[in-house]
Amino acid sequence: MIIDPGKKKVLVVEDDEAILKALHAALEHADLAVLEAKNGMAGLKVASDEHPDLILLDILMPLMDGWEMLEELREKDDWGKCVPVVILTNLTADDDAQIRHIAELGPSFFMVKADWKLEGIVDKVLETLNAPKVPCP
Amino acid sequence: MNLEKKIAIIILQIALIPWALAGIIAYLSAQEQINAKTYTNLAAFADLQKNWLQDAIQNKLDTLSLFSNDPELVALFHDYRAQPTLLAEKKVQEYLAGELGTITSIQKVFLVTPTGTVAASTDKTLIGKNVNAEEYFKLGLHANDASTLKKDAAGVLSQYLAGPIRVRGVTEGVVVAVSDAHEILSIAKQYEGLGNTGETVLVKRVDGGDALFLTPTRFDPSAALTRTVSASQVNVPAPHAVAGEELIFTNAVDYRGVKIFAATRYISSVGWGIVAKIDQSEALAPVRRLGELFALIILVAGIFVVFISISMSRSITRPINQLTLFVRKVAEGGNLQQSVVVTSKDEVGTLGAAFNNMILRLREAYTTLEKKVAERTSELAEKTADARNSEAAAMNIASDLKDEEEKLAEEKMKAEELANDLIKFKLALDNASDQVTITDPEGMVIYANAAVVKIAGYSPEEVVGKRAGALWKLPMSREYYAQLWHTIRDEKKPFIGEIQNRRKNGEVYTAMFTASPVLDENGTIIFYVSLERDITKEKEVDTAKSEFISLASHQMRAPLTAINWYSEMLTEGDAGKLTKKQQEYFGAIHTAGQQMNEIIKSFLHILRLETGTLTMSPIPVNLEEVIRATLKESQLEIGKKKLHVVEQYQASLPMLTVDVELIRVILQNLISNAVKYTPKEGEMAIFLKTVARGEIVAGKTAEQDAVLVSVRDTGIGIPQADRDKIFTKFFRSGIAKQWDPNGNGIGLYMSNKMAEAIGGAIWFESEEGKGTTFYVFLPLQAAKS
Repeated sequence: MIIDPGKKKVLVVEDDEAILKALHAALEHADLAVLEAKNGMAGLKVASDEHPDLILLDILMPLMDGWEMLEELREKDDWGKCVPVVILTNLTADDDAQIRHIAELGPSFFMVKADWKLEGIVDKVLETLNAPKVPCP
Repeated sequence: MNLEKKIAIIILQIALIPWALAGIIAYLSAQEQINAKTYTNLAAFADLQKNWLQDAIQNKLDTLSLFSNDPELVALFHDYRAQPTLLAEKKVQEYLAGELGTITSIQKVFLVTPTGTVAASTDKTLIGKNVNAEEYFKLGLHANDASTLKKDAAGVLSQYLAGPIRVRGVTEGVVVAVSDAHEILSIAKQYEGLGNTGETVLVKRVDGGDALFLTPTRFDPSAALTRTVSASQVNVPAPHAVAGEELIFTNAVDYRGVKIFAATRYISSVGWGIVAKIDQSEALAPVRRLGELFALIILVAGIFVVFISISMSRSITRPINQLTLFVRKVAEGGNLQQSVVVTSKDEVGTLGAAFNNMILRLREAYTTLEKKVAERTSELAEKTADARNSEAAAMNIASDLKDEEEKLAEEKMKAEELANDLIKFKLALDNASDQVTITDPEGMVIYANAAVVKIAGYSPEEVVGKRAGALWKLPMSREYYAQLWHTIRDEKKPFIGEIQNRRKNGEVYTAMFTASPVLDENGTIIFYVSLERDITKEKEVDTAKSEFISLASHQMRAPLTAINWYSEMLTEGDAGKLTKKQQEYFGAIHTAGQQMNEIIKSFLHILRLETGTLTMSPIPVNLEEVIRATLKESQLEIGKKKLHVVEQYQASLPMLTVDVELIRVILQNLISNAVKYTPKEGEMAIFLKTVARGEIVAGKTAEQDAVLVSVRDTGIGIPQADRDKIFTKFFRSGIAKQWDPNGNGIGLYMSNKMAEAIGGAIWFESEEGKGTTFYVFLPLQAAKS
């Protein structure tokens, strides 16, 4: 994978091929460099190797789910503690488990895929990338 | 009541009742006679009027036949009809003018063809006009008629006389003579003999049997041909008169609504009715005066009788009073030395003598008695003193014994009752399905019921005498137990919560747990009672349900997301430029995908609401903003239908603390329904205001301070029969299906459930074909799930 050093890097962790492809195309269209991973395990590795500027993270995935990956990422090192993560899932944040995870792991946004157009997701990614950096605890 | 008054009243009654009865009977018979006379007068008057009018009408009909039966005029008109030359017309005209000159009461004459065209007239302006719609023409075609009255522009009444012109049995036309109505008016105006309020009115039958006034009335000079009396009114004579009924009305109402007596007559030749009438107030005036006179007589006589009765009763009771006074003196003062003076020789006199005799004997008896009493008294005094002392001592001992005995019996009964209660209570406790344990203040188990076998897996005997903490192996966090002990031991309050404990076999179970300290009267803890209900199964089922719902929704949404995003990319032109058709088709796929997502979301909401696994995240919400955003979503449809939208929001509305997603779903449903079911160019209105607890809105009382949202539309309304089903799942009203076959019938069901979930309420008022208003109470502080 060749990464243009001038572009911001976004890691998409997503097991559904079709969705991954659509996100990849849309983010690239917005002039971002896109990294891919198909489960939490792979995502964790790409994240540590490439230190992307933002991670788009699905929850339900084989091998390691999104929350597990995020938990490990947050515990791993200072970079992992602070990297902005946008949860992109088709689960709804209306049960206790989801809400508890959101509270503990602090993703920037929790987006339900089916409720958003691709355009809206790209806007949120750009908005998060361009937000002024807040000091990370 | 004393005797004097009683006697006076009896005399009064005897004297007055015949007087009053005689008065009333005389009054009633006088009233009957006067009424009968009034009715006779009215009937006679009506007959007179009927005769006069019949004569007058016959006169007019005679005048008319001067024309209609005139052979010369008939011949001239026949010629004109056969050959309508100018000459023939001139001849008819001249003949008419000549005839008219001889009859003064006729103002004009004209001839009409069978089709209604005026062929000739002494009034040139009428020639050529068509009168076939006129009533006189229609009637005149068949027979001589004088029944039509008409008003001219100046309001002057005329009588139209019309009759057929026949040649050998064939009607060739109608001759119309217009006469003044002086005669009829003057007859109708004759009120003499009917007092100040009486009159006769002349009426004619019009549509539906209503009666139309033909002439001005005494109280309404403009009534002629304008005023009608409806046949549906009760007790009004005019419609009866025009129906041909000749009656006497003893209790009727006239066109002014005044009570009257009346008689009706009918003139069949013209179909007119006559009502001769007089106001009841005037007709009954003599009766009233008579009544007043009788009342006066009874009053004067009454006063006179009162005086007589009082003086009579005095003369009877005076000696009795004297006697009474004397007896009272004897009784109260004990004075037996006097006697009463008896003067009269009647029954009272005899009574007085008997009294004197009695007092004499009393005096003797009293003297003897006094002596005897003095003797006996001194004897008794000695004996009594001895007896009293011994008796008192015995009494004291007996009473002490009795008290003691009663107390013992009472205590025994109490103890028995208590034991009985305790046995019952223990039996209930032993067999309760919840686990009940009692421990001493140190946590040592002193009692456990049978349920401990089922829940904890121990027998009661295994448990008693052991420490509770050691038995259940404490799988909960340290803080939990600290909190538990702090509540029950330090605060001395009951602790309620979910707890996890370990069964004898090591298995962890979840229970609803209550522990309460039991205190003695000094506030010291004697023991603790704890209750456990095993809810492990319920917990597992809940968790499974909740997980299934999340997963199912995820599985359905994943392919849907792909469909939506790819159709989006295609329409955006990411895969190359599309034709217009392609653009349109992919757009449709995208829209359908979004709808599908909304449906999945709805089902998810419903499942969460029904399984009670919905977690609410209350945040401060600006309701006005949510409404504006929701309205925006329907903007396209509103524009298409040209709906007029009214928004009225109370200024400085407080923020709600509530789950915004639920509020959004409720508002979306109400607004999209209003848009959907309102016809083009209709109106919808949204109101927002605060209501205080106890305030009533559209029949519903607010149970707490809340914000009221109302969404009103001018739509199709909800049929009466469907109103109680409107919030039922999957219910769709027949009329709603016609309007929108695609609805799924869950919107209002869901809104209602959600409103309930946040402690609010949703209800409506509706009128079929006019519109519906939905109301929602949103409590300022939403309920926690």
